[in-house]
Amino acid sequence: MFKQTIQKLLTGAVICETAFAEEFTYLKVDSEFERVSDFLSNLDRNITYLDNADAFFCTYKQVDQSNSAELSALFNEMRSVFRPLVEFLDLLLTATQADLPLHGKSVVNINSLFEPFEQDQTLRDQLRRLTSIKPFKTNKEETREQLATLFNKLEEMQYFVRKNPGSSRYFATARFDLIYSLIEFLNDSEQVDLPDEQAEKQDELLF
Amino acid sequence: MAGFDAGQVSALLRKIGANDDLLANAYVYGSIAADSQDSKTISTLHKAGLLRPDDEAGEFRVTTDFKRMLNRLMRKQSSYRQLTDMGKVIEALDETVKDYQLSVQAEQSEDADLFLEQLDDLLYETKDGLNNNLDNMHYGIVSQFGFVSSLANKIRQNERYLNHAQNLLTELQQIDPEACYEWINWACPNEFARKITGFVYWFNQVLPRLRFIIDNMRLSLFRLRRDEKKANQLRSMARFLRQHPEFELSDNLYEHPSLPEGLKLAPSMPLRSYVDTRNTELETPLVQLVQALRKQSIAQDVKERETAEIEVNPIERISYQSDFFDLQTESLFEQAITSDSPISALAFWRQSQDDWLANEHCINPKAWIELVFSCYCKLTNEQQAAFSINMKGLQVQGTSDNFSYHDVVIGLH
Repeated sequence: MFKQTIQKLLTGAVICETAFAEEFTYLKVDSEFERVSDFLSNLDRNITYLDNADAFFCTYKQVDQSNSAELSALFNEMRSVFRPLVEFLDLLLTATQADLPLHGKSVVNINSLFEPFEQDQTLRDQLRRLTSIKPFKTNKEETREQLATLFNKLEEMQYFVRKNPGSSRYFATARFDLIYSLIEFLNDSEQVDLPDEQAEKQDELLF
Repeated sequence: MAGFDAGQVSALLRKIGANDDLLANAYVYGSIAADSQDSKTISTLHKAGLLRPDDEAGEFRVTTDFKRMLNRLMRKQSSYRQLTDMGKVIEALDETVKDYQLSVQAEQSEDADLFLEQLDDLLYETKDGLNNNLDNMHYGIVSQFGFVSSLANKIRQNERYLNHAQNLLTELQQIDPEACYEWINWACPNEFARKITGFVYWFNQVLPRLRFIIDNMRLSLFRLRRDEKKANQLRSMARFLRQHPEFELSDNLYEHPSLPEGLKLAPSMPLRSYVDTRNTELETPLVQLVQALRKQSIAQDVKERETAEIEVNPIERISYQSDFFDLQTESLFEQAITSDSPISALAFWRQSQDDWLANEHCINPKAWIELVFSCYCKLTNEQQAAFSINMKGLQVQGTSDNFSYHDVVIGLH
């Protein structure tokens, strides 16, 4: 299990209960966590447990010449998928009329999404816009097919896992929680100035 | 039990049983309307204390007592605000204890039994009520307030539960369970002392449990608020991105000094390994690997072969048997060569008759001619080219290329 876990971590996996249950249970044992951590520190990596996400993954210790090119590539990739992913999460929140956004361990049944999308033109338009940009780009015209493409792509990107290939139930992994962390960071570090939702609601009530 | 006989209790239970549907509907749907048909039934149930009139005229609800019992039995998520006034409970206990003590000391055993039973009920109810209360709160946290679905409601419920639990804790902390030992500070019967000490023991265990629940509730509330914040930030971010289509994450975000640890994702490391060919231990698997790679990519199935036994006969030695007429045809060809003149097979047959008969050999002339012809045919191409063969024959009537032969003449070219 040690080898298996190290391999997963080094190749960039985010180990959470949904995606890699065995490795997750293994890392929950303190002594094993220490072992893995010691090993990875030789490779200039930390193993980080993110409480928000309930997940383990490899993080870099410092930026230097040896890793800056790779990091730049990795963060470029993150940059390119950030906007589509935020839009997807927002769209899903609207479609399911929930106030709890998608997070690790949530389950989405794609079949239950067809109806709201078929009944609401705005949702369909948003979906079309989302499937016209990378990485969700598709030529499909049908709403169902567009949704299926979207979810399959997210499964490929390891944001979702399924228990078997034909299933309509998608289990969200902790990768989604990393997006929320990123948003929180952007807000806290004042790179973006997000309006305060509560204050806005109050304003709406006043009117 | 004092005050009731079994007949009265069974009459009440019968009443419940006889109106099961009606009561069940009132419990499940909140209230039932009394129409003319069952107004009589409803008034009986009202008298029995099972139904009570609703604010709405003509509608009835199940009474609180009955509802509480059903809630308990159906294990429904009931209200957590139950029996929390421990001060009053202790007062009631204190009174009952005094009554009991006086009865025992006055040797009124029947009354003493009654008070002891009252005390037992009171203690049991207190314990059971509080345990149930704690269980409800615990269930609330464990299920993440699963009885409400929206996040906003979960947060509100969690806040209420937490408030209630904290109040309860404050209240319970004001009671000094050691003071209850005063109750047994006389020559009391063992049975009574056991009940009181049991109660104190239980009470001492309740407080840590309650503190544990409160801690978990705080944690759960923290998580729920975090989720709420997450949702708000997500919505705001989506709105922000729509308003600012030019927005991109910064190019060197990974170098940002305040980037949290959780976002410093390490790039994935390509994992490869090479073989140390000098290591002799690896030789066998390596050779196998190379062999496997050399083979065609499509592995051919190995066909199962059928096995059969082979019979090996010893080789027989056969002595060379020469054929007389074979030798004679050879001598005919020999003669054709040595005499350098064509020889007719039939003429050769006639010449040789005396010799052959003397040696007791005999052959039909037709067979002889065929034998000579076949001998010619058996020659190699070069040998055939050296000899000329002249077939004497006539065309068969009615055919173009079929002949019947009566002789063959062998000569040299």
